[in-house]
Order: sequence, then structure tokens, then C-alpha cells
Amino acid sequence: MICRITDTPIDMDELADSLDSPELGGLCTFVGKVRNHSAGQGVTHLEYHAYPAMAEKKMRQVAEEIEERFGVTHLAIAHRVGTLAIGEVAVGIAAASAHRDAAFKACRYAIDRIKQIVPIWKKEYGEDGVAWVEGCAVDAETAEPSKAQKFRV
Amino acid sequence: MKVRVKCFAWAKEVTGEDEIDLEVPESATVADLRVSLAERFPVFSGRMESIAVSVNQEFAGEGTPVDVGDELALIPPISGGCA
Repeated sequence: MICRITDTPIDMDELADSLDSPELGGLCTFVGKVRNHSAGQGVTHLEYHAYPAMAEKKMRQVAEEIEERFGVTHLAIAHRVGTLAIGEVAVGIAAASAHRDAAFKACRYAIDRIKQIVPIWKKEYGEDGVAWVEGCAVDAETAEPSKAQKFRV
Repeated sequence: MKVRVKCFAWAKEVTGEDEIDLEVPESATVADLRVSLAERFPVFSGRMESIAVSVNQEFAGEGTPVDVGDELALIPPISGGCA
């Protein structure tokens, strides 16, 4: 199980290989990359910031939720911090299970849940200026997401 | 008593600090912490509802106690992953 915040490039092969085991027939990966546009505006680069200790703890919580929901125990999550150029990998997820269905579901759940409860922030630099992209105001009791917005700096 | 609070992202930018010290009453809760925060940094007043507080790396409700030895942090809306 990998749950990692890193300031160096994410190696998807390493994440996938960490889940290599003879009983695992389905391996699903998700790669989140830096996109060159946001809300109709050009983006030049991003900065990712994290609260590393809590972020890794919350990633482990996501992994526990995935085990409870889908029975998937083979999961690897890595999230990058620092300045990232267009096309760089911001987040990598690999999930493996005996059969494909659970692996797909685990992978999808992981990325959606990371965006809700893992304390990582994105600062967007673009032709429209600089903004904190604020996806999810965390309600302490429910951790429910709110509508995405931008907060100009 | 004085508690130390970590600041991240927007909260770090507006305070200019990685960590701030806030004076709170004895037996204080997260709600008391917010009162002290808004007094010291009025910029938080307008959007306090969007700022979560964590206590020892868990999101904390308003009634959660805060103490000198706790690891406290201000958590603006998060945007990890990618769309």
C-alpha cells in the first residue's frame, strides 16, 4: 500500500508494479495531469501545496474506505506537490483486485474522494491571473463537497 | 492560553505565516479558536464558513476541544487530484 505526497515526478510504473501479485487479475490506473485550460482560460502552470502528514493520513482513510466498500486491499496513491508544468502528472492511482470490476470502482472512488478530504491545494497561474482553485470546503461533520470556485489572489 | 495553528494555502498567504499563535480561553473549542482568529486576522471573517479546522490531523467540529499540545491547522477548501 502506497499513500504518498511527493515533490518529485510520479512514476506510474512504480505504482502499478507495487501491486504485482499472482492473484490480482485486474489492474486499473488513473493519471491526473496538468491541463492547459480552466474555465475557458489558458493555464500556464500550477502549484500544488499540501499538509503532508494529514494528507497521507487522509489517503490511508480513503484506502480503508475502499477496502470496506469494494474489498480492494491493493492500492497505490501518489500526489505531487510543487510547481508543475502542463502535462505533468499531478496524481497517480493504481488499484488491483482479482477481477476488473472492483479495480475500476476502487480507482474511481479514490480520485473522487481525494478531492473531497485530502488536504491538498492547487494554485493556478494563467492568462486570467492567479487563483486558488477551491474545490471542496470541508464540512467537519460530513466532509461533503461544495461547488468548485476560484479565489483570486 | 496560547495555541499554535498551522496555516496552509490561502490561509498561509493572508497571514504571511506557516504557523500563527492565537490566544484562546482555557478549555477552548474550535469555535473559540475561530473568534480569536477573526479578531487577529479580520480577513477570515468574511469566509469563515469555508475554512475547516483540523485537530491532530482530523477535521474537527465546532465543539471539539483545543489544547496547547494539539496539532491545529486551518484548512481552506481543498482541490487535490485533478478534474
